[in-house]
Amino acid sequence: MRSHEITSYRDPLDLLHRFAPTPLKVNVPLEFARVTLETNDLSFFPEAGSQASDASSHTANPGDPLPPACLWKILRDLDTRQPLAEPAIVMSGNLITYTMGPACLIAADRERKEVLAFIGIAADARIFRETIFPALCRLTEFVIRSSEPTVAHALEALPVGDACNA
Amino acid sequence: MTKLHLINRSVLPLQADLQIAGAHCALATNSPHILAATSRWHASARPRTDRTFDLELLLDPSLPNDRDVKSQTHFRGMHHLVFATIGSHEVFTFDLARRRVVGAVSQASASDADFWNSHWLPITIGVMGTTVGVTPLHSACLDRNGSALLLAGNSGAGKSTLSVALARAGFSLISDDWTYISTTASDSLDPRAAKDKLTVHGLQAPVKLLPDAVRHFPELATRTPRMWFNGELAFELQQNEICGVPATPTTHSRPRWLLFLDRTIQPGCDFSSISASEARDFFESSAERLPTQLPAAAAARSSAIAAISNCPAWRVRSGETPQTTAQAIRGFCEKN
Repeated sequence: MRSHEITSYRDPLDLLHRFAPTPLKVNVPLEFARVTLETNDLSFFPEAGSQASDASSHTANPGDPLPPACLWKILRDLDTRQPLAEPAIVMSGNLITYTMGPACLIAADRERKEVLAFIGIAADARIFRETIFPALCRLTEFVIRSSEPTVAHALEALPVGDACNA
Repeated sequence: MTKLHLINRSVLPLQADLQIAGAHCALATNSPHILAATSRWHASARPRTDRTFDLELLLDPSLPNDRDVKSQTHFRGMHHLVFATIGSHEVFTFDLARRRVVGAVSQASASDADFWNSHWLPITIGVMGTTVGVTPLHSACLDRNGSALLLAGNSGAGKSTLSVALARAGFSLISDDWTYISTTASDSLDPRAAKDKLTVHGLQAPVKLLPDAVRHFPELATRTPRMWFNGELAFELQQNEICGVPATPTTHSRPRWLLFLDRTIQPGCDFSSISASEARDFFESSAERLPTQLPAAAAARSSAIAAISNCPAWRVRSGETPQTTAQAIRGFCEKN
């Protein structure tokens, strides 16, 4: 479901698209985190459209501790037309960057409890569901961990092949 | 197959301190080629301060070498982060909150001195500068006997062609497009006093001239313009090509004159004084928007712009060629 018209973004003083609007705000129910999603494209989460105005979708028993909160800010980037490339992860301290070339740029910041993403038009619904959404979930696990991340944590949390400089 | 790059100081044993446009860059890498390629900027070891940012560069020899820097570089930013990719496999993350840049590069990039010196380090200062007390200003800059002439104007006003003409008229070219201002530590909040503590810097980046510059510099007709990051087609001139002899590089200077270039169809070239607030409004309105996550950087940039705007400023209306305008400016600077 796409409940917002997405258009190409142009601002000569914002060449990095930092201020591209993300007017849609919904909760994404995950078992281990309370995710608030800010986006310009709810087609990423078709089921989320129905609860777009519901600010308390998380179901918990009274008295249960709330899971940690995390912000997902995901921008559908109509100006990025490159195809998806093989995934790569750059991990440095409290920051992980997950990319599939320019068409998929995601950063997870542990200190700020944020997952920030630009998704180009090459990532269709299937790719988002099968590849990007699982990556977002694993990055969220990284973000909400209370302890300092280690190489073992990173390898556990993310789908990594044998190409690794560790 | 997902490739994982773990970047920390233990896998980056080679280190150097770089001094770039008044900022201190603490470089760490695993590549002797990167260390050698950036040697122009190496400085003596120095303690970390609030003007230091980290640049952590991992060479991964398995990355493909077939990237094209000028046509395949892609930038995006959100909150305190800026992403850059080169081709499909090289990636940089600029973390403006923690003043750290991390990147994974191919051997082709690692050993390409022109890539680092003419493109990537200037871009890095452009992105990180405001977080380490260095303000990028959309302005050309030339030096005359230790005093800097800043030449501002809207895109297309002819800053670059006039800069080349001024360089051929006896000025030293510091920059033709982006100039970087740094301030020495000062307790004074008064921008009139702060202007005396400013230094302007250039990065010896090549000069970009649009294809129509061939009207003023016929020797360009034998060259082929190239595509740049922003999709613009332009000639590229190294500094030593501008005057025909190897130039003595001038990389910093004290600001003295601000000129705002206004091209007109009327013949002649005249100078009219403008106020500090007009100068400040121009620089503020042409500066990149900064995210709310970086309030200190935005405040520092505004202070630097207010300080530089207190230099004497004039509007230059010229309908003359760059060469004639350059001679008029030279005469003006000798009298003011």
